[in-house]
Amino acid sequence: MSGVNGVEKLLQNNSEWAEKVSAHNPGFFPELAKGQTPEYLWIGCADSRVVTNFVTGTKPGDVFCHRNVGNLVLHTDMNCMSALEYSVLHLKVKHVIVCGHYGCGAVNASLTLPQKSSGVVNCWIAHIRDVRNAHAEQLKNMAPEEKLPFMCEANAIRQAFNVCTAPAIQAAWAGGQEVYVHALVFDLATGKLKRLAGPISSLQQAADAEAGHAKHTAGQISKDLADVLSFESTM
Amino acid sequence: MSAGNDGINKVIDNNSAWAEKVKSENPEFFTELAKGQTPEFLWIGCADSRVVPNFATGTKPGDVFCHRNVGNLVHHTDPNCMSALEYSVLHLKVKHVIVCGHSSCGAVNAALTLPQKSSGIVNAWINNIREVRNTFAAELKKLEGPAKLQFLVEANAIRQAFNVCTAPAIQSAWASGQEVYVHALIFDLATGKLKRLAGPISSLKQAAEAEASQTSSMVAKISKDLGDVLSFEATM
Repeated sequence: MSGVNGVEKLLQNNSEWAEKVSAHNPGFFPELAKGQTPEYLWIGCADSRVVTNFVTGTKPGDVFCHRNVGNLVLHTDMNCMSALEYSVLHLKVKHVIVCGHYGCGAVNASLTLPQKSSGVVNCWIAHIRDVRNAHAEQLKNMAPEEKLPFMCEANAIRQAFNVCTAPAIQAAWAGGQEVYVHALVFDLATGKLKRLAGPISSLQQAADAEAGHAKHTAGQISKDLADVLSFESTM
Repeated sequence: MSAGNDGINKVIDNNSAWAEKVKSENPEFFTELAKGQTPEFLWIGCADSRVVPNFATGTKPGDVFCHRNVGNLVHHTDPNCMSALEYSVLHLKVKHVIVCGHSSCGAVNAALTLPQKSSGIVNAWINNIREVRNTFAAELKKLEGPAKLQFLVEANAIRQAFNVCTAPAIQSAWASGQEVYVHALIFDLATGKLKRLAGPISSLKQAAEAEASQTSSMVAKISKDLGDVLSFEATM
């Protein structure tokens, strides 16, 4: 597939796929063109090996999909926030899934890439370094081969927590909208998804999920949650 | 809570079935996958649930590094997209960057219909599409309904591909002689077909020509944009 004509192969594949689907179901694409009513928002890693619709056995129209390096959810990131706002408040998806994966290069970089490194990726993963720092004690006491899998999970759960505290979800819950948040992790070596947390439909559940994953930092997470809740109660 | 569990259980069940099926057909598939990724393509597409890159392109896990956002936008000040571009181009060394728009895009439609005063983050996010709209105001005025939307869908995809070309990651890749091509495609929801709009592009000049060919009356503007970029660079 390499070389200047690499895209030719994709276009051929596309033709075959489109013909095959249309032959099997002539109404498929015209129906698709009418609109979308996905039940899921997937926030996953851009990694080429974690293919949303394959992994979840879903069809076109099922899953609104935002993928970025390290499946991060940041309240100051208009890119992710607009995907969250649009899918939750306009399309009214029922489930928001944050999915990390073992062997994540971005998570690994948070454990290995010097903070002084140049480039945008280095800045972007600062937020995974924050998760790393929050779990410094556990990581210190872990065998080397346990650190990356632990961090892949802790990151996915923290990003799911960030979904829960995002304005779009907070507004949805305050408006009585039925939307659940979940954290999953994908195991590249087996193709299997594992549940880490969820369904979450309140901040308390989000905090419990995070505390449950890393028992020694229950104090920190309870404090984070108490801070959020007490400030909100004065507004 | 059963509704919350039902939705996710369905996903987990589907996943189990898929993983088992793949493994039975190819026992080494996942263990090989876990060793690393060497994708040839970066796909920058819309988050729209109907535009599934691997289905549309007939590609397998490991083939396509994938960034999807509302309206398939590429901003140089967006660390989210820029990190996907930098990582895939400079570290993974993908050969092709594909920007793919699609018919009936809600984000592009919003650029034509959503009042600029609207609240919410989506309203701010789509401002770059409004800029594309403003650039092509004369052309758009002559069009109606679906044709108007389709024109802007295509112009947006090409403009975002141009933004890929001027991004630091691509500029430095080209400067060091790295082989990477940029393409703009459109996915037609009504037929499932991909259409080429521009590419393979391997220089800024080609990017500008691709954009100019989209609408000949805008050649002067695009040539000026390109001229500005190239002349400033020449002084550094």
